[in-house]
Amino acid sequence: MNFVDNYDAIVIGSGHAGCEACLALARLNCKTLLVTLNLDSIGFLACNPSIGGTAKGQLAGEIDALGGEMAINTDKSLLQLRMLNSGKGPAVQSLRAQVDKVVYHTEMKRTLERQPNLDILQGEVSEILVENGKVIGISTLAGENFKAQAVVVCTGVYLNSKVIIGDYFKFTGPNGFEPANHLTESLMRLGFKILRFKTGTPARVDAKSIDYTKFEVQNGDSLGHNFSILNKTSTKNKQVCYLGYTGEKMHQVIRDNISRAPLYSGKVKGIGPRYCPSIEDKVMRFADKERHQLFLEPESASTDEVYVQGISSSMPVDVQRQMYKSISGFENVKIMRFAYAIEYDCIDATQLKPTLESKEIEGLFFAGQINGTSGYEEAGAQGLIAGINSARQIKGLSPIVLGRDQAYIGVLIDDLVTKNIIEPYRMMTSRAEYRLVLRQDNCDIRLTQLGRDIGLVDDKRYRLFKRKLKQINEVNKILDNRYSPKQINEFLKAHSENPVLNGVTVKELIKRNNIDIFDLKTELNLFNDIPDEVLNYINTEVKYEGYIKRENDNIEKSKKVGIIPLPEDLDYSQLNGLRLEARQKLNKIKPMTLGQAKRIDGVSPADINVIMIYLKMKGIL
Amino acid sequence: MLEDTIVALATPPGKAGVAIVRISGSNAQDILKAITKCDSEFLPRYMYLKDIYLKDIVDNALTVYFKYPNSYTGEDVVEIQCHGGYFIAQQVIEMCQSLGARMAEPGEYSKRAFLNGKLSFDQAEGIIDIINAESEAQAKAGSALAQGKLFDIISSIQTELTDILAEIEAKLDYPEYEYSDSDNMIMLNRLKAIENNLDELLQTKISGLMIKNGVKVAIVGAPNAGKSSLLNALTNTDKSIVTNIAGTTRDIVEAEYIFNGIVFRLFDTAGIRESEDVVEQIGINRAKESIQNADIVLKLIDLSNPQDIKVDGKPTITVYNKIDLTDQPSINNDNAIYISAKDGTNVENLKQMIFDNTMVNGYNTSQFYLSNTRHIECVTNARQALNNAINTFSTTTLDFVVADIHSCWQHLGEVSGVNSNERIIDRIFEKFCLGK
Repeated sequence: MNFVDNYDAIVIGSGHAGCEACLALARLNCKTLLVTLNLDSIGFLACNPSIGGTAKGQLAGEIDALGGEMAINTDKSLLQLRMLNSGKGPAVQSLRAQVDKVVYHTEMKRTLERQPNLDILQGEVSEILVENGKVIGISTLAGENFKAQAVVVCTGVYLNSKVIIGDYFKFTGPNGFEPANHLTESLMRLGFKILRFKTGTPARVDAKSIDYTKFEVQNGDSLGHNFSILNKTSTKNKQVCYLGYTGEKMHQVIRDNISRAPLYSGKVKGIGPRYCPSIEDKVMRFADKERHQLFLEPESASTDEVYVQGISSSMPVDVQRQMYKSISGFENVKIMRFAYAIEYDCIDATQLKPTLESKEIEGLFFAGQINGTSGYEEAGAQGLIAGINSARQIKGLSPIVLGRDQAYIGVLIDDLVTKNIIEPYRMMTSRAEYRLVLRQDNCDIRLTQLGRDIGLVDDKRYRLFKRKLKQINEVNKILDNRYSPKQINEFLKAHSENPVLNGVTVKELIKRNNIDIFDLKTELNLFNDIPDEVLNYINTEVKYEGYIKRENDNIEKSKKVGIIPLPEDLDYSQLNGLRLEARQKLNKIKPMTLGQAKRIDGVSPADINVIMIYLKMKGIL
Repeated sequence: MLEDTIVALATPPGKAGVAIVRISGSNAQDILKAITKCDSEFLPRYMYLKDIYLKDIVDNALTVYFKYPNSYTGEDVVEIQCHGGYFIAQQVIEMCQSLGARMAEPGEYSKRAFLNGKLSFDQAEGIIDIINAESEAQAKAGSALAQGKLFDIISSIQTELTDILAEIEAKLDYPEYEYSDSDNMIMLNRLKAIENNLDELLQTKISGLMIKNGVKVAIVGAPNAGKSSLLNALTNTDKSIVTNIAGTTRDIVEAEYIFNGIVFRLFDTAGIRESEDVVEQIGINRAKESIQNADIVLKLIDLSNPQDIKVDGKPTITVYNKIDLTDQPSINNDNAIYISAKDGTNVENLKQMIFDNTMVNGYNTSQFYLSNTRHIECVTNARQALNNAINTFSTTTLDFVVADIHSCWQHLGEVSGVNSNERIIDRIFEKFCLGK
């Protein structure tokens, strides 16, 4: 076989997973080729023009802390930034950005183009080349072969994708981009189990045709920072969003036409996510709800197209016209792109290791929607980890697996490779059992040193990180400073707090319900040189010290068993004493650690005992 | 690696002269020191006769400390040989739990012994069988419970909690959506209602343990008030077996009878050794201790020679004996009854009265009573977690409050076996219309 060129690694697909993967590889000094169906789809935001949100803001923050690109690119294309859940506590606060999708794409493309060690090629990959259980390269449909030690598959929703609008369907990717019609077969030949998932997107409408007086303005927040921790300037919100509602009139249109909805007529076979229901699904399933919210989000500063969040649909176009026009403020609306559902192939991610490498084929990695997830941030996070681990494999280094106690990225990948995912997987804070310590405000504290050790954190980021640690240290030093009753009781009284008899420390003051660290800054003249970001972090750590300590105790407790490695070649069917269900599940998943084994549905504590005894017998434990 | 400290009864539960409670793990000696209020080190493999300080009583027990690795499990091990019967052993276990030990899982001592190299490979297979057998027994017990009241109660509490959690989690994960659901006050009241349910369940613990171990009935009265006759009357009228079991050195179980399926154990007390040369004070002290251990006290008064005895702090029935010898009016009320132990008048009514006064939760065979120590531990922990959530509800942000509610849910899950986080996520999407 002739090879056009010889690379260290090849990344297939240039969505949010592919971009992070190829950048990580190239930055870790691997000669990398990115092959994508269309260069105009690099970093394309096929659905919302938005990055972040609950749990997703943390994911993007973690990508940033490890030296990834998503948050930086978000800042370059920022239209509006908000901190969600600011009233509900630090553990669930998340950044959410509205971005200019045109700028997001062009900036990401420029970043890729300027990245040393990275070549970019438009083309369709038709085959992954494997020899003796090890990946050796790829072939394109155009007939070229490229050699590589590692291949990262990030095909998103493009495998055999099919767009459905009512009775009309077409085998195409999002936005009219070409689908990838050959790679699925190659994957099947390599032994991968293929699933068919479905997702959808709402219509884009012309801003000029909207009566905005019928909508409520949603402003951005004035934050002292941007998305990426590198970007210390104050947020400049350039555009607003709008909140509106559907009503009975629209619901009636849907009910009258429900038989024409592909989801109800059986034309859509893919499994769609419950958290991303189409409007027809919402109206039918929640019949007693009189209205549903919808949000108008600007797609870009360079277009009048508006994204209508909340009413994705796969109704026929004539029904969609009626539906949209029946919304208050949309009486004269002009649809520019219709809402559609899209079906695509993905793999069963339990065929992967927690490193995102295939269990069967060495050097073959998968990341993003092909692993059954949904969302840009989920994709980017996997892309980064697949990029890091493929690079480390090439360099002969041990892989990186983040723990569930370390990052949402760890929760995400562990769930994917351990659980039976039956619908597109979206990250939620409620999926993270240790979310009190996985906060937006400590992404860098948790991960930047690791990113530095891996080699992705550049000098600037590392300097900022070190400075932050130093500032934290300075604040910690004065936490034990004491105030006498004479000095502090006025202050306490002013904050409706009980006075003290024997004095009080700075730390104890922060723990009071009606006082926070910023009150101390402004009224007691403390922490003058410390940025708000650091104070915010310490405020949380001190105020919730008891909860955080308990969480850390729980983490330590589960770690003891959790980190015990299991041999990859262990045949569980031969383990006397395991129940049948446990044998089958364990053999399917082949968990890397005892902790992962424990999280498999159908493996009981008694089964774990049996495995521990086996390990002891073999002298492994 | 597994150095958290576990505790369990090492001897079979039930009536015996001695019960052995075994503690294994790194805190074993600390627990021994705390329970004996003894600061000095215990020498390994030496028997110490010590007072052990329990919740209600002080027992005198043989204690022994084995230093790792020279013990059954290969960890620090303490054995407390206390007085037999379930009551004292139960208190020892509870005290160990309050000092940081947790209840051992089935087969856990053997498992630890094996993992620490104390048992040979040949024995490993046997241990797997033990663990499996016990977990199967547990599973069977679980399915038996599944049809019973406890599972129903726990499940319905968990369902309500799942609902509350889904509501809170939906708000946390989808802050931009409007919710036409309950506000915070209603949420708080729902949590308080659950706390009440857990309290009610925990209250059955007393009855539960009584059902399991028998109700302790102390009889006090002046010499010749007719205690022996009463004992005979209570036991002979029933066809139950009369046994003489030495329980503890403090209490002599004279006899027991069964009424409505519950075992009632009779303890004779003051004046028990009715020889003239026993100092009166000793008898009174012994009576006081017995009364402390009892679930209910029968104060026996001879109508022909009334001498009152003071009893404090325990449910008490005043039993006026020998109505056959007097013409006095005999009007029974809630805690006084007129009987004749000799001819059996009103003895059945007395039994009913004892039953009614001890089974305070209106015992009936269809209700479940908490009697399993592990279940009690789980429900107690669940209640504690919920209590934290309620106490911090108005002052702490929701993300932290919900951590305690999750913890409550998890503890209950250890009883019901329903522990999967997915249930809450499923409920979020069943209940709320969310998503773009």
